[in-house]
Amino acid sequence: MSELTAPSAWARAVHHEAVMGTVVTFDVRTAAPADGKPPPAEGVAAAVEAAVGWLHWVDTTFSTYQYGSEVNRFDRGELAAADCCAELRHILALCHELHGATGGFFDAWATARFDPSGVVKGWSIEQASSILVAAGFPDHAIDGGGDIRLRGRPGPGRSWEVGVRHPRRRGAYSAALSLGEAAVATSGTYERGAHVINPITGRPATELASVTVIGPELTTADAYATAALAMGADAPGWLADLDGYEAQVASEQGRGWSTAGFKRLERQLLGSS
Amino acid sequence: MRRAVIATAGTVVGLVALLGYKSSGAVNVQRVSVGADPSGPPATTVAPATSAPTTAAPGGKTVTTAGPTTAGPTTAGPTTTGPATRTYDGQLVTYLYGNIEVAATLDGHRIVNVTVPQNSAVDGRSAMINSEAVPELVQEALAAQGVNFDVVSGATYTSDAFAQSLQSALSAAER
Repeated sequence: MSELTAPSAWARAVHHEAVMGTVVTFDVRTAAPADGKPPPAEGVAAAVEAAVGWLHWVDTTFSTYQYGSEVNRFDRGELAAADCCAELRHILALCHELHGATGGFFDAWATARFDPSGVVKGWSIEQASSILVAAGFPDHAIDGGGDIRLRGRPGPGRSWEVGVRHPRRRGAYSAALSLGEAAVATSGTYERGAHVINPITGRPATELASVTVIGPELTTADAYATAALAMGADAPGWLADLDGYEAQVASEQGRGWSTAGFKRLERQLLGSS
Repeated sequence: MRRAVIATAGTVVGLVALLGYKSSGAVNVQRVSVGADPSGPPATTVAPATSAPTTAAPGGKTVTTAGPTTAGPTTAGPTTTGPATRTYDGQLVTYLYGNIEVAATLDGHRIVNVTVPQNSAVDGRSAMINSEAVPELVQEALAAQGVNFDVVSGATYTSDAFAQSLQSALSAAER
């Protein structure tokens, strides 16, 4: 462990939490104080605990699986929008906004009920990240089942090194990225097969194997990745026009496409170190 | 030895970073451009870790050998740790589509083998997915020792649970 206690090394605290049907991983980095003492571990633990508590509250409030959840009561008309919590009203507005921004390809009403799951995960992780920043931990990564919010940096003079899992070949990566403050969301049909419905046709989206979107924050990056997957062949054209977002698309036919900005974020490999 | 394997450092995010190196700047990934590949976009594949001189710990004894014997970077870890391999069981992780338990065999700090003592699925379709996914995750876990990603985008249910169990196995190794 000597390499971790060297003066230049940053401390790293990692926590896994099973929530929202996936595993959310918190990775909090803290610069070593000048006196060489390790940073207070209980401070990190308390901050992560607050963020974890928030995620569980979101899970309970927005769960479409729990009959009595607020989102279900709203969906059944038992609760008027005005009587919902501020968070649900915010998500409702966000769903309308994203529906417009994606030409209808992000549709929380696609399944004949209100199901905002496609935006809730990214949004809640974004808020969890803000909780950590507010608690004094500006350097961290939060990974919600492959959708990632990166803050600050992982260590002195370093960028976050991010692998993008190849949609078809396990153990391979379709990109290796060097990122600072950013969000990375990947939506794909791999492992569980097609699970994104094209809201325009009502059929599962099957043209693309995966879409990865890099953006300034996770709420929209996640929703855009999901919408682009549903778009199929039209996704590259739509993604290319997004300001402030970079993307990589892999089609089922094996073709890859990425924005010029995405390519610039791909790190120099082998021999560059 | 700059590229010290820090599997015991509890520095885990995702599956790949789980086994990654802390050392900054060390890039051990090779991009292989694939022309007319029918199975997906050009892949960035994991190159085997550059072989490093193996330092034999004084007085150490190898109890058992497990897994591949490819020479990898051997950490000059705490002098109390010899090169003996030891297997640590991870926790049984329940996820949406089944249960999985991962065990890691370490030679010092280096992971030499990863096994899956328990792997059950809730239905036939999940079992089929797992039958493909799990062996590949095992290979990935071993190969990933040469990669220094902090985090991986695009993880899925099986890989989440796999990583969680493997992490608990490595945490057990620290104690």
